Amino acid sequence: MNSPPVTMRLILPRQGKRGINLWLPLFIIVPVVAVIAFALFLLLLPLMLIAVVILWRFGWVKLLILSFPAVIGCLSALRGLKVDVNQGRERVLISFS
Amino acid sequence: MAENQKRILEMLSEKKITVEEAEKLLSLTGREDDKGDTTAERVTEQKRKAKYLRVVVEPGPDSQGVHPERVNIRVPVSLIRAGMKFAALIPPQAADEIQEALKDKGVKFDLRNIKDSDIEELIAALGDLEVDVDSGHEKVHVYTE
Repeated sequence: MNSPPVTMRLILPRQGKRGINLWLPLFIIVPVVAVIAFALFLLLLPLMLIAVVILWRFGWVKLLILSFPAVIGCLSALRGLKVDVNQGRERVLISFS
Repeated sequence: MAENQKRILEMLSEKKITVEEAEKLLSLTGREDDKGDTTAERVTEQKRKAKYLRVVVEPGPDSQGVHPERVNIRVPVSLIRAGMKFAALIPPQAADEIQEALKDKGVKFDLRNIKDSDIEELIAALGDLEVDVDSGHEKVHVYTE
C-alpha cells in the first residue's frame, strides 16, 4: 500500500466571485477527523449495533462493512492524483501529494 | 545476445582481439544475459512498472476561441488497482446485468471473479498503452509513465 497523501491542493473557480484556492495539510486534518470519527463511533455504537441487526437481512449493511477496506485503500492511493483543467483565466485543480 | 557472442568469436578468428580479450568480452555479454540489462529490456521494464496514467489535452493548430482548454490529468496506477477491487462489491443483480451487456458486445469477462493476478496483468499491459489523437482542434495524448 502506498503512503497516503499528506497535502491537498484545490483550486475552483466561482461565478462572479473570487475563486477557491485551498491548500489543505491532510497530515493534520486526517488524524483530527479520525479521532473525532472514532469518538462518535464509540458514542453511537449501541444504536449502530441495533441498526446492523435490523438491516442485516437487506444486504446493505454487509456491503457497507465490506466496502470499508476498499474505500480506505482508494483514499490511501490518492497520492499523486492530479486533475488540472485550464481555460483562460479559469482553472480547476485537484491535486494530492 | 548470441549476436554479440558471434561477433566476438568472428573478431577472435580474424585475430582482431586476443584470447584473453575475447574471454573478457564473452563474460561481459554473459553477465548482461543474466541481468537482462540491455537498453531495450530496461525500457520495457520501465514501461511495465508504469506509475501514472496520464491524459493530456492541448489545443491544436486549428483551435478557435480566445481561451483554448488545456487538460492535464495524472492518475496513480495504485488508485486504479484499488478501484478495481470495488468490482467485487457490485451487487449480484447489477453484476448479472453488466455481465449480460458485456456478453452482448462480445466481451467474456467475469466481473465477480477478478483475481489479483488479473489486475496485475491489466496494469502491466497498461505500460504499453499510448494513444495519440490529433484532430486539428485539439491534441489528445494518453500514455503511462
